[in-house]
Amino acid sequence: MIPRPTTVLLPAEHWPVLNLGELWRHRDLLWMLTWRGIHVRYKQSVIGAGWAILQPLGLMVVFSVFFGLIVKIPSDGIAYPLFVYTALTLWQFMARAVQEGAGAVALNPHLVSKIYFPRWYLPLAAILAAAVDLAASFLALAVMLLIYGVLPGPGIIVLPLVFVLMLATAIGCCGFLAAMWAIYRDVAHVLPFLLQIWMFCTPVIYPTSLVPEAWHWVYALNPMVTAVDALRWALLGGIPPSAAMVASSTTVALLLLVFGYRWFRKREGVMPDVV
Amino acid sequence: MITATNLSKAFRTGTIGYGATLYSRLGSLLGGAPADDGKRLHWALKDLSFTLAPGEVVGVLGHNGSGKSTLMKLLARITPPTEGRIEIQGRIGALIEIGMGFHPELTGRENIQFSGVLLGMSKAEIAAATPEIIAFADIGAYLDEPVKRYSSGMFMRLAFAVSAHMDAEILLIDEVLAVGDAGFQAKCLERLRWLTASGGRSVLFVSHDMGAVEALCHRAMVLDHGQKVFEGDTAGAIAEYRARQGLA
Repeated sequence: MIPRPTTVLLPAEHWPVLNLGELWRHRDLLWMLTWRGIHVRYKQSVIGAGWAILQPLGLMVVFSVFFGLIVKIPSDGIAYPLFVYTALTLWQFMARAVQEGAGAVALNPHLVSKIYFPRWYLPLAAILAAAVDLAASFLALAVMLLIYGVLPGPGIIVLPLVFVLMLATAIGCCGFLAAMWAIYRDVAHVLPFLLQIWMFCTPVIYPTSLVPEAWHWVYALNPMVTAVDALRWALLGGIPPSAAMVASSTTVALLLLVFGYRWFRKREGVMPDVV
Repeated sequence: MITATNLSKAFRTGTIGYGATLYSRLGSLLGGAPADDGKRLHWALKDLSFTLAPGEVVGVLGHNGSGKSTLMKLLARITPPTEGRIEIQGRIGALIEIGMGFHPELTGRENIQFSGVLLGMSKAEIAAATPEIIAFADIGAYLDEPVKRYSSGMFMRLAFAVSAHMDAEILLIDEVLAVGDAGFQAKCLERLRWLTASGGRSVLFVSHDMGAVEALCHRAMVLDHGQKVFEGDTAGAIAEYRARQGLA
């Protein structure tokens, strides 16, 4: 039972900005929504959760053929399939988290307008479900490292930090976009386009070393740049992101987190009336 | 126990403002479209105050659009009030739109779990209530089939069963009796009678079924265009409601 001795309901403008206690009390629901998201996604599909691995693998094959073999994009001396797959695991996570997290409120009107629960759980659960897919594609990455005989160095300890950086970015983006999508349907049309641009601004198919060094800190205003470079450095021994890049990315990710959370929270009250 | 003070709820009408496309919003900002469109408000509930004491069963009557369901949504925290204040002591259980937490791809059993959590039950409470819910819904082997393969009757039976096994000190019940065949409806009414009579629960009961209102409620209020026009004994409320419907 969720203990609720006295609850006072007030107009939305009196709501506290931070409602962590409320979120914690309903945490069972977050796990349930995450479980449901994963469960439903692969129901009535033959390959099921295998898709979480097959999608980035498929992209890796295509990219390796076109960009690695034909266009011969440099990869800082790393085997191109490994180079591109490492980045694809992270990018696919971000793309899926943002795509599904952004639509989480607008595409669940039957939940939002019919029942009370902290609305934040909808985008959060979408992000967590994407994280489960990320874990699956990391398993495939481990197998690839074995095949290529690459042994990760001690840099592997930064992995949790890479994940935290991406999580902050995803939560911030989803908070803003989910609230926007609930009110303005235009987001549905703009988002795939934005995600595509975002991918081109991330060193997925090409290395950061192609960008002039003086511009690296600007380039890293996209937190995914530092995330991808840090992972490549940790696992494959690529070029580590510079201090300036880490600073740029961390600042942007934190600002996004605070801004996205507040933006969503301020519009939480109106969501049931507009979705 | 519920104490509501000067409760009002306004909805925006028209599409500009909320529920609009960004383009139309930009258009109105640039002076292209009438800018006052988004500011039109519809007051679904206006300045309503009432109390619901522990153990009391109170009916809420009114024509369609009188604000009954808006009131229920405010109390269930689904949407915040525009003005006023609600104080609630105890846990609220809402039998408002049954089956809303169901997902078509999940089986009946999985949906019991999921919608139970959604309704605010803990995992232990759901585990304890599940055998009773299954027995009440009585849908046999379909329990382990995806809900999308259910007939609408089966769906409603399971949905009602889940909602009606929520343990809460305060229940909000909104038009949930029109469920299933005559046999199941009788079972539902029996369940509601038990819920309202036992455990000292406070109940707010919305229905157009005057028989059920008369049978279950201790007193009642009548809403008209978002305002309370009557509060008192059940028979008086029913008479007032009928008079306003032109049925006298």
